[in-house]
Amino acid sequence: MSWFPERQTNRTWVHRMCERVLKSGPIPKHIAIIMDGNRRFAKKKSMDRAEGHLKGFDKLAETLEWCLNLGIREVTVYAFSIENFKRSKEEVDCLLELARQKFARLLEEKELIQKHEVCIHVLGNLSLLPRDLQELVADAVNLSKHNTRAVLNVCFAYTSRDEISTAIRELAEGVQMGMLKESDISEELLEKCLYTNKSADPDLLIRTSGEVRLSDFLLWQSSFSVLAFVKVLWPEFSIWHFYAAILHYQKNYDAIQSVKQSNRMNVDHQQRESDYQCVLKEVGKTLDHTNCQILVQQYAKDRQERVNKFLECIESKRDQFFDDVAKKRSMTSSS
Amino acid sequence: MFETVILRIVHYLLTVSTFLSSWFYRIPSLLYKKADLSARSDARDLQKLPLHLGLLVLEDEFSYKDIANLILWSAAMGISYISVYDVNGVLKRNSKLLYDIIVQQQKYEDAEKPKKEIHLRIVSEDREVSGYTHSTGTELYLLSIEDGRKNIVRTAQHICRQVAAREMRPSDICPNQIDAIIQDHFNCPDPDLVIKFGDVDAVLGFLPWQIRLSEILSLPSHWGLDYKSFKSTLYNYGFIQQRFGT
Repeated sequence: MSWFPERQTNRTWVHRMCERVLKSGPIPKHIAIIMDGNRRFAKKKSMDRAEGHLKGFDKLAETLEWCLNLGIREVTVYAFSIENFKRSKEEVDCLLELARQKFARLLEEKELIQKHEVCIHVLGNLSLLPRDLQELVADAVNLSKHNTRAVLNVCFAYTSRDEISTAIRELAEGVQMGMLKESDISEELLEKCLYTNKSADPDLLIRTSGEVRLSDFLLWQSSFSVLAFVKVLWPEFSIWHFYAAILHYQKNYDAIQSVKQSNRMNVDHQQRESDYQCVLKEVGKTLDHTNCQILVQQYAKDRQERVNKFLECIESKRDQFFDDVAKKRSMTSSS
Repeated sequence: MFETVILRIVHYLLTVSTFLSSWFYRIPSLLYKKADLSARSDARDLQKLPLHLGLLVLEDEFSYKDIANLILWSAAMGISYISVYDVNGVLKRNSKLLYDIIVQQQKYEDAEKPKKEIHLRIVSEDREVSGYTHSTGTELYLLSIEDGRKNIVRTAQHICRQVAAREMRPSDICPNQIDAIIQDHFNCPDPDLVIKFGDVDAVLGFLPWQIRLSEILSLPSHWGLDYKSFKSTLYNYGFIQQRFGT
């Protein structure tokens, strides 16, 4: 099965009806999914593990269609954790092979990606992957990077702690090179150094198979996400489970929005406070009110410039990675 | 218009059904009046006990008496680290009040039994409310949103300071290194179990770095929570099988 439906599978009037009803309430903009239970599904149906994973992939394609139908524009999935490298060699090879096939397939179906205008991001420590897979991933990312209608983030060789420590490393390098001041580091800046810097935090996080933990997935980003722990195994996840998760999101919507908003305000307040303290430190203790305001505004402007420059630098470094992978390949293929 | 009405009805039905089912589960405990608080022997029935229990109070109103009970039950079961979280830090601000109520509730317990020392700490202010420094007691942490993402930011600043002072190289920065700094700050292991109280199904900023592997369970409210429901939640935890990565 391919990543995207070639043409819409027939929706019954019941589904259309449900969609219309759900759409009259708040719909999440971004959903994160931990697709858990492929192996248990395989065991249950006494199939091969590989087949279980394949079924799981088919389910992802189906779910993406449901999301697009409801108007959910961004989906982040946990495809392969860094911890998964600890599994048996046989299974790791099988998972990587599946990824190879699926990314190759994706490249074959260029027109479909362009038709659906889906932009694919692959988040994670890609240098841990075998060379050929890196190339496929780079091609898929480069191919789709100008699409804007929908975004699919595939977390591959990913853990959230690794993501956060990568971000901190970038910041430390920035400080070391003198691009950033230590006091520039804030929640907002750290967030922009994460792999998910282009996305808003997920509104809804779905985990299947009845497990009730995050397993090192989007720890930072899911602080204010509605959690939906669904009991079924991932290949058995149906459109009704999906609708139920959306309903669950709607029920939690108001409470979470208010906490989110007050946190936003708090973050802004702390930023202003930090700017003020920095100005005080620079100038010394004696400052009259109006003078101070101007200085703080100026400081904030300078800080923003520093930060933007630094972020541009990180951005181009990340793009460079994909270009390098592609370049090296053309070198080896021509030799 | 029509759709909105239907959606309202569906949401209403959902609320009613969750409400009913939460009462349904309470029936057994309503029939048997409060049993003897033999938490320590109960702990032996449990498959496993969390080392660090996180209690997330995601409700607007707080019942200090019920929170104190939760803490005392957990301590009596032998849980060594308990953290109580509310988003805005209301409990942190009222730590003295909470501590007094804990001491007061402790007096109602069986006088024969040796009492656990509860040692209350507020990490962000580096403040200790009670004077005990026993190593055998239960460590109680009061946490708020300040201890979550912001603590990661503080850790990042700390690391950058070290890098700037050439005490550390950027290439040394790895998850284990950061974890060591965070562990050192909190001085406790990651929570293995998190129990949420309230209707909101989210962790609302609770220790993002540390909840990596925490099991997240929910109870509808902490108000009037009885020992049985609490124990059955811990019992459920005992049945959860931990498989990570492998």
